[in-house]
Amino acid sequence: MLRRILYTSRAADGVSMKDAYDIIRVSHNRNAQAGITGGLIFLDGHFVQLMEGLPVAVEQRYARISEDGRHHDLRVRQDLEVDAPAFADDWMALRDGSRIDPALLARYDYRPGLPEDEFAGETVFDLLTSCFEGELAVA
Amino acid sequence: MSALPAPSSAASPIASTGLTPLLESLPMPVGQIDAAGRLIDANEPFRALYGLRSAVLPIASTALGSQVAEDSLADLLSRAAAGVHAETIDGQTADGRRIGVRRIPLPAFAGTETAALVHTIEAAGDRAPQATDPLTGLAGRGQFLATLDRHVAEAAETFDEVALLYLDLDRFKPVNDTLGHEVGDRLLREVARRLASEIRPGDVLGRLGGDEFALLQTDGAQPGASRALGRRIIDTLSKPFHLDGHTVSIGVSIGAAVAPFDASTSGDLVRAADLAMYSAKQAGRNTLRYFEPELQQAMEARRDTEAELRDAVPSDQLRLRYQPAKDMLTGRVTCVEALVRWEHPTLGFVPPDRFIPLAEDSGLIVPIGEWVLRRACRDAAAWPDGACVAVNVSAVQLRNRSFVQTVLDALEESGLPARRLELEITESALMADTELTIAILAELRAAGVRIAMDDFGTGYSSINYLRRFPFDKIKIDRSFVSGTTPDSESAALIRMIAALGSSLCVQTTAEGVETDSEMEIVRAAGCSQMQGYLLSQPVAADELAPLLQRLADADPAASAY
Repeated sequence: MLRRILYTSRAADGVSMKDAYDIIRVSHNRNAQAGITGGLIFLDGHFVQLMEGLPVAVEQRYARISEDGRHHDLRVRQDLEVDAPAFADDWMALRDGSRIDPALLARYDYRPGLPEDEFAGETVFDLLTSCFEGELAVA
Repeated sequence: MSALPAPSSAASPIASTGLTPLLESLPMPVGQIDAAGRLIDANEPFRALYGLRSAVLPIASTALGSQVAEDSLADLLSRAAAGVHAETIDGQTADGRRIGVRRIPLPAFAGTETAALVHTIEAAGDRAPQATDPLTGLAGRGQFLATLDRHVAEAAETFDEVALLYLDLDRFKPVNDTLGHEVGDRLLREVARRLASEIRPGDVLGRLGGDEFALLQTDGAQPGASRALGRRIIDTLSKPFHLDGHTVSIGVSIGAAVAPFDASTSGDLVRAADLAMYSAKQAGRNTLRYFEPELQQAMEARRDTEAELRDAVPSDQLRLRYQPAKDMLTGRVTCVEALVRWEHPTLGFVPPDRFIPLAEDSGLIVPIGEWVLRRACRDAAAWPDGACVAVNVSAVQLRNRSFVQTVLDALEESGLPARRLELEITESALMADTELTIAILAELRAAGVRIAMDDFGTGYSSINYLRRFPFDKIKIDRSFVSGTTPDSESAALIRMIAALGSSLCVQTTAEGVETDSEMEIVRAAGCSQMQGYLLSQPVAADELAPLLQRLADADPAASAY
């Protein structure tokens, strides 16, 4: 059984795609993946991140992420147990606005930050995974 | 022109003379040497030509060790430093090509002791630069770098990501050395073929020279795409190669850097990927590492420490400590191991594991090792009688035949008989270059010097080396001895090694004996000697004589010393 945490957050002032890239490569170099898979998008000054893995590993990772000064206003949008991971590789995939099709966002009536009162957790999940089409586990 | 902008930290690994940015902008290999024949600056094409692993400069011609694939650069530096006129001298690249090298004398520049620029030119009849690599058919260095340049410049305009993967084969040199250049060449062709089958549209593959390859990835979201590619490469190159009836296993260390995150120019991207590759090498074989700014800082810190270490011998900052080993039967101290310490002017005592690896990487182990040898022989010559002095020898020292003369000189100067000198060799030293190493050891042993295998049992083919060389002693690694109990597997292994030693007529010394029960185990196992804190910790040279006296007094079976 895997745990999935999906959250949204607002990037701190001055945080850029470079910071998002930095977070991911450092976790690679430290072998700190801990079997966690998922995806991270950086869009209009907001992060949307999905993490899946062993419950204890995901919990610890989220605890550490929530203390990272590079973002704030964290909102957990999904916290579930799942049977199979959505992402194929043991790697945190990364996308930013320049690599996301605006038509895709339009289909979801996207608004920056995906406010909770307008976007259900499931919708956020669908939007995120759509951004990584071709890199997902074969269902 | 008074307020030039400072070069970015990633752009300029060496900012010694102000020539660096100029050198780096040149497409041909250019190096700068000082009056002592030290390479104080070198641009990327020059470093690649001579197989210089990293940008840790200066490099002295006498201090070339693991950083250089061949002795060709040492030779070039010493000859280039000797001349005073502009002239063309013969050179040889790391991969064996004969080339012409233009020596251009320089006046003192900006207060430095720069002596000359050496500018490598292709010899007449040699193929044109920037062509396809004739061995593998891949893009050659020049062609690859030109392509990289174009893609990085394009990506900067389109805000696309470009990943550069630097590949360096693990364990290529032993294959080349033991099976010959033809098999080595076939291996490189097969590596190129496997790499080519892993790339996708938008990837560019090149051979930078020697066993270095590079991949440029222009499609896909980074760092995910480069990591996937890196893993496919590691997988495919880890599979055995079958060449002319030989089965060969190698591996690959990969450094990755991504524009625009890590660098905005191709030169900076190359440097970042190269540093990441260096870090991958250090992390062990078959590894992919991404560049981090910390690598740059670590490299700079390393260079600072190296500069200080360079000064340690002339400034008399090295000290020797001595730890005795005693014979289990007679109780006499028969051997005393010399251990080097660095007394840093501000940091105090730096433990060996903090500076010996750095000394080995930089080649500084050669002068340091020579100092240790001379001092240990001199000290030991003053010991009343009998005990031999054991000196640790690094793999790097055993890479050059002149080490034999260094040892003989130390003996002659001190008057110490050769039989009272014991050289301790680790298994990794033997693995580095077996043929030459064994030839050097055989020459020393023929001169009467004793040869011991250190840290026995920690490598995976220790026993194999016992077959290849007649060691005088085996030192059983402390990891077997420390904390061992009579019924433990460690005790069984100690018994086995001691039995092996006695059947080969080789002495065995158990290291790291700290308790009486450990001593009883090694005694019962049949080890001929023991060493460790139970007997004594390492002591300063002037404390050794009283220590030996105390040990002799405490053990009535032993005569004085």
